[in-house]
Amino acid sequence: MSNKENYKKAFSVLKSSCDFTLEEKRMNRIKRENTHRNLLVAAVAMLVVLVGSGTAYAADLGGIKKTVQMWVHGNKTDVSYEFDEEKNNYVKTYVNENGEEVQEDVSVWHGDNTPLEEDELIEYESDNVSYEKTDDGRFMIYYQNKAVDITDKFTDGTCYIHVVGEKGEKYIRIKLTENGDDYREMIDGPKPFVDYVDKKGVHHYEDVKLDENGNLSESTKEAYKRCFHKFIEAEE
Amino acid sequence: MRIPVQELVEMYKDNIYAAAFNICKSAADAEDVVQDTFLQYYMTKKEFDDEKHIRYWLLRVAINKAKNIQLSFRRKNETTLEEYIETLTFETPESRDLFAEVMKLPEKYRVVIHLFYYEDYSIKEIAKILKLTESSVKVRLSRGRAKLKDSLKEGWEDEQ
Repeated sequence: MSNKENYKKAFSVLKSSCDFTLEEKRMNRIKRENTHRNLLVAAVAMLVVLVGSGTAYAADLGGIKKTVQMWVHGNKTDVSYEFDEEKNNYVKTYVNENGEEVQEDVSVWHGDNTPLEEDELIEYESDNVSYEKTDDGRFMIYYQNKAVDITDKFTDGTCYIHVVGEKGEKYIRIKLTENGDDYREMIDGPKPFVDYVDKKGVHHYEDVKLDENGNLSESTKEAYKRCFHKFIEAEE
Repeated sequence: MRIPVQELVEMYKDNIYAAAFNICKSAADAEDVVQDTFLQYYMTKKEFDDEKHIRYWLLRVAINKAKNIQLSFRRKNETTLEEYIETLTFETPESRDLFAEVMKLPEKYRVVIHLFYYEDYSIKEIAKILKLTESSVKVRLSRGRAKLKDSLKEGWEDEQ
């Protein structure tokens, strides 16, 4: 068997379980959880497969390309945004640190699936955190003017880091996969956890827990008492 | 031309899923990409030249969406890649090994390998989909092959 035949045989096991029907159906969009953002990124779309019905949304931007200075991988660079009516999203274009032109979709919409206005887009992009695993196995976080190498900042597969950007700050928790080769869970936002150092000098991190009434749980209150507010600061 | 989205789903949902999974390495994220991609097709007013053009468009959109998922912060409670592989039924142990080794490749080699070997795209077509130069595609394909040869040994033939 050729490589191609073997490859197809191996990857033919991947089957989507998506179930689309001819009836009117509600589809859940990807929910992007970020408590900082006022822009609603969880959208519910109605898929109607009937002749003559359905609604399409398009931003009224007139095909104008807007170029702004934006942080990319910790460096300020010219980034162009242009609305792509085919894809119903913005496409951003910039030149990366290797001099290569890069195009990326900015796949964020309002809750009613309408695209963002220009100022909303800029606001979203200006406060966005992104991460990358480089080819040489380094884990990087990018937030505004900061490019942080967190490869060696994991303890028991989890990294807690505080990043202060030019015009904002993020408290970020990242968990690795079990084999340590990728991210599995990322949370960024206001401080979502309590951290303290015990008498032996060991850092402890606990999620902020609420009781059934929405108040701080007893365990969280106890953790706060011990809290030294020490956590890893992103290096310059 | 336009093909009804219902037909397209039946024709291409597994292809879209496989391409998305190749990038996301997550079944849940890949499923989201599948849904989003077909939804976007439904919402676009674009006319296509032929079915081949539609397939190309779907894959390009799906790959972009999958890459964006990788770049953004999202919280998912889900199985690991290893746990997911355990749920798959491979025809042979060699298939499982090939699958696992491909998924270990760096993403930029992995997606080129997938488009070449699974979707039967040419170097030129892959370059258009990924917005790369043809020489970049050739280099990534070559390096991906070399890594697979190194890890799979006799399980992967030498190719030019």
